[in-house]
Formats: sequence, structure tokens, C-alpha cells
Amino acid sequence: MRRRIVKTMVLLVLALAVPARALAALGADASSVARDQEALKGALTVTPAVGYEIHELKISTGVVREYLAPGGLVFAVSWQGRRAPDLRQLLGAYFERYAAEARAHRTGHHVLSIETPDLVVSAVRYQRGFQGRAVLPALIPAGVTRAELH
Amino acid sequence: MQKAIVLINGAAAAACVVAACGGGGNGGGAAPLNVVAATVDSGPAAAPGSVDILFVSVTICAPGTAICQTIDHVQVDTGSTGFRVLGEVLGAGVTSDQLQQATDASGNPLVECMQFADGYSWGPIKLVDLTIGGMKAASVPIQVIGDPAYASRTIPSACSSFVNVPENSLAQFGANAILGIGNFLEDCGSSCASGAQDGSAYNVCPPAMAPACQPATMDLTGQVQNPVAMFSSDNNGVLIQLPSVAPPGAIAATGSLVFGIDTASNNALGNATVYGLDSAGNLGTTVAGLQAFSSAFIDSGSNGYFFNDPGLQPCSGNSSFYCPPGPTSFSATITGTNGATAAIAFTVDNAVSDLGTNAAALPNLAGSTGTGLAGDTFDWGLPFFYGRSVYVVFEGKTALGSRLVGPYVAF
Repeated sequence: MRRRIVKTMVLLVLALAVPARALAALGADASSVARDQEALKGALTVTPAVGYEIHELKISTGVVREYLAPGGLVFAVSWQGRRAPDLRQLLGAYFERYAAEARAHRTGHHVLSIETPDLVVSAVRYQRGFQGRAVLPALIPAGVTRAELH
Repeated sequence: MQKAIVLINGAAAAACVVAACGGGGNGGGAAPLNVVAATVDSGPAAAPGSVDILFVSVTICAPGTAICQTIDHVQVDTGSTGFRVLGEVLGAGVTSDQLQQATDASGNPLVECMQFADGYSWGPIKLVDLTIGGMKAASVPIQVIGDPAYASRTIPSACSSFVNVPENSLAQFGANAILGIGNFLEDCGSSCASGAQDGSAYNVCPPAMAPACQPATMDLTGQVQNPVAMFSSDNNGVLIQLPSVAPPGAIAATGSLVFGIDTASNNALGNATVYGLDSAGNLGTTVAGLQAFSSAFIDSGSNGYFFNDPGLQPCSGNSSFYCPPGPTSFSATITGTNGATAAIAFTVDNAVSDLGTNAAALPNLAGSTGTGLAGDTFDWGLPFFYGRSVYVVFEGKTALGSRLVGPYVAF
């Protein structure tokens, strides 16, 4: 029994040691949400909406929402909370793209917006808190608007 | 949301003008100590080209010594807390090594990751004596960004995993230093003072652990502090007064940064209305014909109005700013958590057209918070400050002219 627990812990440690890129959420399938849940240690609530599902993770420092298309792909994520979320985890393959676009679109230290054909991001830094959204326009299901993704 | 609070504007403040209510601004005839000139211009010579950024000069000294350096083009930011100077700017009077390193109980150096919306800044916490205008604070915890002594340390994953853009050089940061004089007394607050830490804020970097550092909790007084709150007087808030600027803009605009509210004849709240803020430092804003924004803030550190309006055309080539075909007028209502409201008219110009004038003070500059996305945020950036007196009252502090306890703003 004890050995089994140790083995499970070792596997868990190994899983967390896998490069974050492999845990991609944005643009990845539904199983990535479970991995996000494990990595971010959040309580998951699934809410259906017209044309998509909202998978909401309540984490100790705020709320993360992942938006899944009927095919199961994550087409948007949003965050709000006291601390910044782990976007390396949540944006997955898009994380470094986001950084490259951020370097090219300097406005100020409190608001950042990225508008490209395949990736749209809004990030706001409040005095005490963070809020933002990242959307893959090409994966938004038909009939769903960017504006309804909170 | 807080309940409405009865406000008594003016009466108490008027009584204060006669009696000396604060240390800095009184004294017949003598120039007040609690004020410094604040200027919008094109930025430091080494990193020119800024627009709508407000600068002051700040002097820092190794604590208790006359080893000092005056730093020009320090950005005034009511959207953050704490003084942060670029390491590469030091050395013309005082070096970073000459400043006192803040340490944990074991004597190991403390190093901070500061996460902004557009990048992160990494560097040690130092203690300095800090002077602005005639006001001085002793042993203020500040951050030295990009200090070479800690540049080779491994950046904690949680620091870079929000937006992986280091802002550790003058070219990346855009100002020689930043003076965060927002509503809060510390840069992080209680969430850094206890509980699990992940390295996204405070870290301890023992020499034996190099190149790694490890996350650290940081008590409130050890955190990077709002330096104004550490002045011996005129320490309950700040007042920013900038002149009106005619569109499309001016090469420069100069006004004042005044310390204290209702503490001297030059910082009376007077007839200004106070607007309460929530625990994140936000209030509400509704733009007529557009939407209600639940998270609005008044921020001298943002170089434009930033909000989401699908009807405004993003500039081609710089989608962060708006480029309507001509000046577009808006009317908005700001609502404090105390229920106080203000009607505000503002105009959005074609940003490319305004930026082409080479003016640094642009009163009608505006941009997006993410085209077409749901937007809860309205950022009243520096253009809001032109032609106004904007008061920022710190958390837990009061001004004589209002019964509201900070954090709040007034204008």
C-alpha cells in the first residue's frame, strides 16, 4: 500500500515535470482541461452554453475559464484573480507567440491587447489583480461571438 | 460594494488652511516642500519617443549617507505601488551595490519579480533614503530592476509564466524608473505576507543556492512601499494637477505632483467629489451607447484611454490604438463604490494622425483592450488628467474634507 502511494507520487511528479508545452490547453482537446485542473489545483465546474461549454476552474488566487467547442477543442480562455494565472499552462503552444506579439505591441504596464488573425488577447493589470482573455478566432464555433466569452 | 457614505466636502478643509495642518505645504512665503514639477515629454534621452507619460525627478541615497543620485524621467504611476529604478541608470552618483540590500531573517538577499500586464521586471529589494521635491522618506524598500548582481539568477517559472517578456532594461521599460503612488501602501499586500508563494512575487536568493532562488513570504513592511506614505507628513495621498492640452497635442505639458490631501494650502480637497474604490482599486464606468464597465480605474501610468468599443476602428499596423476617421466624442459616467457619480466627456482621435504630430502630450489618445472581446475594463489613462486635479487617497487614510476612508480617488 505504501509502495503504491509512493509510486503514484513519483508518477505525479514526473507528470508535472513534463514541459508545460505538452499540457497545452488553448487550441488543444478536452483532456487538456483535466491536465490544467491538475496543474492549477482547481475545482472544476462545467456549464453548457449555446454552441460551447464553459469549464471553470476555481483556483486559490482566482478563476480560470476554458471554452470548449462541440468538437472538444479549447477555443478561448479567460482569467480573473488576485494573482496572475499560469499562462504557460493555459496558452500552451500559443504562450511564446503571445510573448512575441507582446514585445511588438507596447502600450503600457497596465493594459496589453494583441490582435492577430489567429490569436486575440487582452490582459489587464489592476492595482490589486489581473484579468484577461485569449481567443483563437478561427476555432470559435459558428454563431458564437467573441463578446460573449467572459 | 460599500454603502453610501455621507460626505462633507470643503468645510473641514477650509478650517485647515488657516491652522497648519501638515508639514510640507505651509509656511508663509516660503516655497512649499510638498510639491514637485511633473512633466509630460518624449522621455529619457536614452529611450525617447514616449507619449502621454508623466515624469518627475527623484533622488535616492544610500541610507543615512550623502551618497546620492537624482534620477530624471521617473514615470508617475497611480496604477501601481512602489519605486523601481533600472539598474543601468544607477552609477552616476550611487551604485546599486552601495544601496542597502534587503534580506530575510537569515541575512539572505530578497529579490522580486514584478508582473505588469506587458512583462515582468526582476531585481533585488534595496533600502534607500528617497527625496521628491522637499519631502523625504528614510529606508524605503524599492526594487532595482535588472541589477547585474542578480541577472544571472534563474527567473522563477511562475514569474515568467504570465507574459514571458522581460522588462529589465531601459529600452524595454521605457523610463529610468517608475514611481508607483497608487492607492495601496505595499505592492503586493497580504497575499505575499502569508500562505504558499510561487516565486511570482518575492524570492530569497542565498549565494549557496545560485543560480536558483526560492519563493519567499514577505511581511507587509518589508514589501516595496508606497514612498509617499512613508513621508513624515503630507503622507495620506497625492494630488496630480496637469494643464489642459488642446488637441491634437503639445510637445510637452508641465504640472504638479503634490503630496498630502488637505494637509496644506496647496492640496485642499475643496469641492472635489470623492469616489470609493473596491479591493482591487477599481470603480465603475458606463459609456453612453456602449456598455457598463465594472472594472474601471484612473491610472496616470497608462498612456491613453483604453476600453473596448467595436465601433472604433483599430489602427492598421498598431491595433493597440484606435484610428477613427475623425475625432469621435463620448460621454461617460464614473461611479464610485460610495455611489458618487461624475459625468465625463471625452474624445477619441485618430492615433496615427496624432502620433504623427510628434507631440508628447496627446489628450485624445485611446486604444483597445482586445478587439471585439468581452471587456469589463475601462482604463482612464493619462489623458484623463489633463485639465484636472486628481486626488489619490491611500488605503486606510482619510482627508479632512471627506469622511470616506481610502482607498479612494477624488476629482
